[in-house]
Amino acid sequence: MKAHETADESMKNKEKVALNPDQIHIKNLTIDDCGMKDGAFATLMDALVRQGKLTSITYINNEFSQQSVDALSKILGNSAATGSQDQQFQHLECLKLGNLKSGNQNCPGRLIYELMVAVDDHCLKNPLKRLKLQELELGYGTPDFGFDPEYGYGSVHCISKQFEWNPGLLELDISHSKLLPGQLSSLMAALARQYTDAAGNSPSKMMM
Amino acid sequence: MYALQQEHCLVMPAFAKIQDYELNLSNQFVNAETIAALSEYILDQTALLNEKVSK
Repeated sequence: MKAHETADESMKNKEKVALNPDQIHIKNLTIDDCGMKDGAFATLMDALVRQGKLTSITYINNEFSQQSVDALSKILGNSAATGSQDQQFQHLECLKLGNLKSGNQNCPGRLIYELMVAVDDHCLKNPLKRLKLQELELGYGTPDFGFDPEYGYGSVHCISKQFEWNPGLLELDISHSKLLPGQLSSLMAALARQYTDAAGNSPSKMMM
Repeated sequence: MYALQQEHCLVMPAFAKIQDYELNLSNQFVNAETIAALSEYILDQTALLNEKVSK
């Protein structure tokens, strides 16, 4: 095959786009079952963090390890550059993670815990509105954290803190996640504390 | 490296359709090389767009 034919074939696989913001800036990102590796996801996040437009990430059925945690933490803590003329900076509002792997294993609970620490650390400045952690190891307790009688274990503790620190959280989905005995009740207790009224009525009493 | 086209438009990898501020890669196999190319495209285009806006 001649060189120019190869180049023509290559161009068929590429698309020229106009310099339009809606074809360059990415607000909503969905990566579902792409065979995406940890390093590749981190590379993509490192590019998108510089746009400062990303409001929604859906990352399901892919690899998720330390580089992904670090990159997502950077996105969660992203802010408009000091002195920036960009008035259109937007922070992440929706994070949906599900069925993630590290190599051939399920994503370790430690990584989800590290991510949740970042979610908590940045929630005052960049609060999430929607958080989905599906089919993940949420029952992880850190060795130095241990069990907190009020909030439970590591990741559950962080989720409980969201109820307290992030009143703008509209949706939490932790379906099919592996919680240890007592963790769900710990979460419900934290939720009830948040919505107990001044007279001390919990949601169950208020509904009666 | 992508070559500059007319009006400073770059070429986008065919697998990545960014429309209405959305990129959906669902069920498309992507390896490290293609993501590196996409990331480079995003960075280059963003820089060009910012340059255009600031003028």
